[in-house]
Amino acid sequence: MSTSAIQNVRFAGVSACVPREVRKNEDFDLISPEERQKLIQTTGIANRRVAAEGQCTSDLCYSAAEALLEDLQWNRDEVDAVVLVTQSADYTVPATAPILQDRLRLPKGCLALDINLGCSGYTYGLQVVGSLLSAGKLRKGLLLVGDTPSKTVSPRDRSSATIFGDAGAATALESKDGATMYFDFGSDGSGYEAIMIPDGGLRNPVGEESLVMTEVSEGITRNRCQLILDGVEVFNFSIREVPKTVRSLMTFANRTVEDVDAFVFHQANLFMNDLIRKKLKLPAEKVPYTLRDYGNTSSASIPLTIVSELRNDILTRKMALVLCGFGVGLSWATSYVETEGISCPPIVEV
Amino acid sequence: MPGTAEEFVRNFENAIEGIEPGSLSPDTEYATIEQWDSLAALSVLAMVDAEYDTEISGNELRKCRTLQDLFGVIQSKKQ
Repeated sequence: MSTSAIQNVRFAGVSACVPREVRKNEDFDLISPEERQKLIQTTGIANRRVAAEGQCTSDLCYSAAEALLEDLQWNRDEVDAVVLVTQSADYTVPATAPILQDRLRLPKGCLALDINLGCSGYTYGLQVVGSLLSAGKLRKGLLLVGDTPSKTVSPRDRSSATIFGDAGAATALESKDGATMYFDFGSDGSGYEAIMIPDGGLRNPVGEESLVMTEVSEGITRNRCQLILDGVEVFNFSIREVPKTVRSLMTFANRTVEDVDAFVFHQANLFMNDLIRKKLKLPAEKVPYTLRDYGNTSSASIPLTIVSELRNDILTRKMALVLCGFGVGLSWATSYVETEGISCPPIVEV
Repeated sequence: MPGTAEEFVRNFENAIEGIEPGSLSPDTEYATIEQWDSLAALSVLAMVDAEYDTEISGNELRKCRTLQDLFGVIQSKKQ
């Protein structure tokens, strides 16, 4: 099975939070000014947000969740589940979701757990929280997603330092009769090495070698506790799987391109995203981007793009959205959701 | 069938910005092309996907030297 329909769950609201500090790719002096311009043009990424020292993903998610709960006017005692999707947890142990349960003043009866996924994580998270609520016992759930890749990427790695930005987001789901969300999803762990941090887990514990900075190729110097991004493998994977999952989802949900108001893709880079858009023959006006100002923000990129680019529409009319996350794992998930009268506070900066 | 090596060379030239049509041959070592960089590589992969409906892996891209080698990879996958 690679599709599922989740019934009686409503998409109630979404919010996003970014750190205040802006880094500009035009200032990335590891490469020449000409190369910087070409990079900005190709990736579509001019600016990235960077978390301050000591500012974690959970802090960004906390602020996003506070803004959303405030706007929704939810009684916090009624929140039954909080799920955090991140690859930049506060600690190795314990999970970060219980810490956020307490910090957000959610009840002790709340189910709280972390999910270790990145770029595909938002749509996976929707599916997990949606499934929990669909069973009928839990009524309200919060999905928190985000990462601070700036802390795990080598600043001397041109392939990743110029791509990733930090962000967190919160999404509210609640039980409601009649509402249906559709999903198509998959995993391909044979490609696990394409995006990875090799050392620091228990397979390769941190040792002396882990922190040695090594020039892997021109413009790419990093250590084994920093992120590897194999551009060719990720590119092949994305143009192979993403059009397939979107088509499969549309067939499963019985929707055409005309039925959908916006297709919000994980924001990887403009070259690849636009190629995917063209393969799917989607009109440019239905495919919003936030790459220019926020870069690739991992699991936060879809909700951040919704809040940044679709907020006016989403606040004023019913919207049909296709959301597609893909990347590290390798994994992918696509969802069809409808929104009406939802909460969507402006982007929070902290 | 994936066509001829000469056609592949034309597609390769078209895929990369700034390459003069007719300036490359099957024997050209692509790493020596002035315009060859990571973007050029991705542009070629996009072309291979669009024109040949297959893919060349990172490993294959590192192992091959000439355009003929790359075309050989495509041929082997289309058999």
